[in-house]
Amino acid sequence: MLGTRTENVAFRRGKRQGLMMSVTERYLRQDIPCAHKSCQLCPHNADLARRGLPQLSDSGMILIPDASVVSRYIELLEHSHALTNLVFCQSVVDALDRRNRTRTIRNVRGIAADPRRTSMVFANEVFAQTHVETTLPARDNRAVMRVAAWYKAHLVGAVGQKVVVLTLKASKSSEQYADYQESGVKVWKLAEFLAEFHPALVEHYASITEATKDGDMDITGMTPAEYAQARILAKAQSGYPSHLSPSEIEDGLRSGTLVRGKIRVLQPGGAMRTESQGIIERGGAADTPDIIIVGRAALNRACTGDTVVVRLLTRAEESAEGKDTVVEQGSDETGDEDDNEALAVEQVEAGEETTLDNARKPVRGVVVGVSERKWRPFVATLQVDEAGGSRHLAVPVDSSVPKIRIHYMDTAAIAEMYFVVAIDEWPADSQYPQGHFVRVLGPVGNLDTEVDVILVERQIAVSQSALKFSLASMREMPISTDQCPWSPSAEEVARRRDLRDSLIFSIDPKGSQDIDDAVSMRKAADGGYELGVHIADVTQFVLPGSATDTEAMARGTTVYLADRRFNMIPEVLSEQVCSLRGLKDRYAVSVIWDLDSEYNATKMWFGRTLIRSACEMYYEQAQALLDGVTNVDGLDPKMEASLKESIVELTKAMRVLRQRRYEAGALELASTEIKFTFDKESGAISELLPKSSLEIHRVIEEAMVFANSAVARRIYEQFPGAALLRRHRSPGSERFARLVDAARTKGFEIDCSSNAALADSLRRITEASKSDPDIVFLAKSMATLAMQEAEYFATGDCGSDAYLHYGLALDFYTHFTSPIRRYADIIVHRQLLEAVAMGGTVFEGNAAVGSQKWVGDTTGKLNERNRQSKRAQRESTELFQSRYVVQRTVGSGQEHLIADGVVAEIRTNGLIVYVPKFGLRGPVHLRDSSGQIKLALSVLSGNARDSDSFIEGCSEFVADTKQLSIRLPMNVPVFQLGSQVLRFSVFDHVRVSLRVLETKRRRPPVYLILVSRASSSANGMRAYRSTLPSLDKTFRVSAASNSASKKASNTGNATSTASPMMTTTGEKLTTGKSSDYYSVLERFGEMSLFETHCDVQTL
Amino acid sequence: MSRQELLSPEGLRVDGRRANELRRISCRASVLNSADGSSYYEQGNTKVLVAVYGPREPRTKSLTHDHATINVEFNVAPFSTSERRKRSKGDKRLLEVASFVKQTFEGAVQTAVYPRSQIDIYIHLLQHDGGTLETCINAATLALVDAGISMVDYVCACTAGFIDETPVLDLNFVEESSIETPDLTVAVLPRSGNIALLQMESRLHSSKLEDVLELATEGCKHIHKKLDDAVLAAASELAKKLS
Repeated sequence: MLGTRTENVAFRRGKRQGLMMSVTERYLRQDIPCAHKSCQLCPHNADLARRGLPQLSDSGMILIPDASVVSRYIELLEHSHALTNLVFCQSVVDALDRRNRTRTIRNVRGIAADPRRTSMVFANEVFAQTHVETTLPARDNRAVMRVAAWYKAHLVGAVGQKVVVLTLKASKSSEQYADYQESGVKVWKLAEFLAEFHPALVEHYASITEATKDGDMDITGMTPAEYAQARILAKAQSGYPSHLSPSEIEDGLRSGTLVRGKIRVLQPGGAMRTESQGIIERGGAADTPDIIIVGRAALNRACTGDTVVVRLLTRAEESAEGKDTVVEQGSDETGDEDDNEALAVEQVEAGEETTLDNARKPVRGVVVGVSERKWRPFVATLQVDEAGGSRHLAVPVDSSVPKIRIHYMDTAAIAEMYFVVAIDEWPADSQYPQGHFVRVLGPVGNLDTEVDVILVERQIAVSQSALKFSLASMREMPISTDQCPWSPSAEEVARRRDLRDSLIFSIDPKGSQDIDDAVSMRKAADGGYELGVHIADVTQFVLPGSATDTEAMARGTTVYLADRRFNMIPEVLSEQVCSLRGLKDRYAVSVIWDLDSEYNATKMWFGRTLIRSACEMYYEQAQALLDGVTNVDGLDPKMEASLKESIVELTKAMRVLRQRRYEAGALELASTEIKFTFDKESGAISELLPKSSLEIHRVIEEAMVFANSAVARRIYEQFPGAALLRRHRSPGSERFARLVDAARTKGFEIDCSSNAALADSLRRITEASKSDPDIVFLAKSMATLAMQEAEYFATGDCGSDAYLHYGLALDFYTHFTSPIRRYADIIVHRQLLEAVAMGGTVFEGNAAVGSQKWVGDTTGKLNERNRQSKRAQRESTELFQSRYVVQRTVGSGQEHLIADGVVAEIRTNGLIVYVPKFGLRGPVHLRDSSGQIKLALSVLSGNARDSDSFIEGCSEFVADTKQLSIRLPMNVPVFQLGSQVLRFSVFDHVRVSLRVLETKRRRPPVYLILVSRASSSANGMRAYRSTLPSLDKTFRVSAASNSASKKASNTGNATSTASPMMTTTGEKLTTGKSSDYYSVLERFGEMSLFETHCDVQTL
Repeated sequence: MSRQELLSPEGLRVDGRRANELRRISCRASVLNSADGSSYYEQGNTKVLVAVYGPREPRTKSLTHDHATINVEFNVAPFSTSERRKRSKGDKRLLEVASFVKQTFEGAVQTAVYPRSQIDIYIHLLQHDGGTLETCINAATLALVDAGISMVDYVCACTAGFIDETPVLDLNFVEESSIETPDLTVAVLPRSGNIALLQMESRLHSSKLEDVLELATEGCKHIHKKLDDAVLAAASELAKKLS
């Protein structure tokens, strides 16, 4: 069966040791088929045919290209269908494989599988008659010649076909071929062969020759051993410089030659960033400019979040750096070759921010050490190494994290799955960090998995199921079931102030389960008022140090995702026992003010109470009462009158308090919150609604702010060093530069010297653009973005001048009103109760609440938890927005999802557009990474159907902070645009088509395509039409006939504008039946009758 | 053939075999003088030396009184792979192979014939090129026969894998270390056709299992013949010496 056996020696790079010799055996057989169509001798030819492999034809020559030809001119061989009857030797394929030329091998296989090419791969290495000893000099060439000679001899009886060996080197070392001359094999140099037999291919040959002139495409230049050695050397050179020792770093930091900071790394991608870049933000003040670090080598293995030590470059170094920062990518190790998907995603993510003129230029630096790694478990997807083996790259979902090399055997099991990886180390000689697989989360695109991804990435929990409460904490819970509802104990009733007779009510979003605040307001006998804010008494049930308490502290906050929430404390508390439900006796912690007729507080009382909420209302009900509606849906009619009175009084009071705060400089800020409604049956998203804002929202908010700030003062009095307060630092005016610039383009001046001035400026914008709430919203949200986040702190940790809450314009502020969902509030409750000495059992064994150190440490953790929870919330909103767009655009009929938007930002390669209807911001790409301007044709036609094609020949792409402009080509009719130059500035209205990029690796990102410039182009057209009454009639006739003829042809689209398209306003731009000449004009436009446009224009 | 091409479109494997071909097997019994039974077994480039001692008085007291215990030790020479690597005795991989061999022979050796005794099988892997377990079992069979220990039948083991929708016999190291290749080892008692061991760590679609198993069993029959020849050769040599 098998013939003789030989051993094949190969070199490869070992994992630990350098060069390794590997010995494999090979069986030399007698039954390798020649695959020639008319050969009768080879019994296995039939076997090849059965496998669907083509056979050599008996017309034309048999061409045997050697390794030099295959490796360098594979493109020519692949694309020139004139070259048939090619015999690729296995020895050549093996040689390619030893140099990792997998792509070339794929091409060879492609040719050998194509029946038109009648070509094959000949297994000469395992064929006894063509095998050549590996030790012979020029062995590979001999092997090819041997094949040729064998073919010549084998076929001589059968056909007598010519056998030609193609090479690049015949003249140089023709003695190698001399042995075979008598066999009748002809050796041709490729160039000469083509000139002789295929002159049409010479040009192609020449162009490849030119393109591969200096490359190392030709593998015959080096022996395999040399090649392996060269790679080891190259790898050693391409390694990263080693980090400095701790003592060197210490010295450097002390002498000021080195700088330490937290780095943020951006991986390469997008239009302007061809290599990775790190940024160390240092506030951007004059003496501490931000540091940027460009290039993989300069970053020296730093990852986002790491604390790194950086050496700043001198000016001379900087300019030198500028020239040669391109770090050689070790082509073999990158494994990037087929990673087009990642690239596509990056392209959708918008370009960099345009730099402000007045911003201080950042300085360049080089990382010389990493003092602290911030490696957490990362969620990633797999990029399979095609070469096989068990070493693959994990591509983290977080694009700021580099790919991680992992060792995993069963790739099929985790392909297209999200899984968790951990980084172990990043050796200096490895391009990527080394890590290991931890566990699978689930398939990409599955909703539950996507939620898990958010939880893991935000370090909220390892999975959703991990967010269930432990048995230990459930044991601590009071019992409350439907059969046996919880009721207050007599002992507590005696201890607490009983407010069950007062009219107390709660107002929350519809469907809320966790009601943590209720209010009361009544006129006092002396003409003043009694205002009460009643907060669920969570500390009664969550005792310090208990399992529930520990867990709640670790969670920090309830996490609200778009479709689910993860509670901080068990449901039995948050939804039942603590929740201030209507008509149920509940424990509360109350703040009660006596107000005079001017709403100044004359007396304040804090303490534990027992309340019975008269009614749990939702905002819309309360607003209806406030608006004077009677018989509000869902309210007890008997209660209505008294509730209404209370709400009206409360509103009056809160208006005054709010006004006072505004006068002190409070800001009215905006944030995008989106509510999703789900279809109950299919689970699909049925609607996406921005959260509405009613006056009653602000009333309740104001009452809570009032209570919070009162409590803040009280606990500060008691614990001057350890009170847990919340502050909002005043941002520097340079942070608002972008907003100021943008507002100026619309003619607004923004003064941001203080919060009062800023509030005033924003108010002026609000006044001036009443008709355009989107701009107001955008300006406010830009102001919000410019500001720092508010944070918790312990009063002893900073000077009393730093307590200010900038946004609310309050000197003292804390969080007191939501203990069910925030742990900070629980601490504040404990502090307050201690202050008013009603702690009772609560404080046993817990002095911590009064310890500055403990509070300070805890606030640090809570701030982090809050940040992560907010990001999780935002990401889940994005997830659902993306799913919504997928649901509406992908699949069923491919309709376009069109919406109005406002330009929110200008980037170097396009715009960021805010779409108010869906509350999402998305990138509009106007220039791709190669610098090509991509302006959708729809900008001219106003028709969403054209959003997939681009206008060719646009030029002069200019983007700065204020404006982005593109010059359209001359041959384009600019009928509606008015000018050849298209300009976009912040706050411009546009219409966009929402799309998602389909990916396998992460949640599909939403991107936008510009449909038209003004959001209401149709309205604009109508206005324009009214100025041309005489024309209207003429066109009316033709329009009617046009639509009629279209109907007859029954294309489904009566006219172009009736294409399946949704508009956010609910109206179609124009309908087919209307005698709107606009549609007619467009028809002409489609017929390239541009003159029509011009005629109209001159009219 | 290239690395990703374990089975070329022409139907040839990396080492020139076709899918249903075994590697070359050469084996010899009675290679060591000191041992009661010994064998040297080569399958392709995988080379194994086995020494069998016993049945002899057990070293440990705690033993069953009605049958012999089989004790298997498996060692891998540090030079057995291209990357020199020393393995500790407690290496789980080694212990695993040893326990598979032990389990296999506990079914085949007539242990009840040798009560209160112990049979030691020492296996040394000298060169490794895939199919460790199959070679160990085959070599051990030969050594046990050489030691004259009564067995119900030969135990012949063979591996089979599944590459590109084709069942493939007797995987070598390159084929075995490719993760996509399921790798099934089966040991049969050739006369009865009973299966003494069936081991597979990777996934294989259940509908393919039968094909792969059948091919492996076919391989076992060839190996049986080889072993039989080797036993015959050893016996005739012995007979020559005696005469």
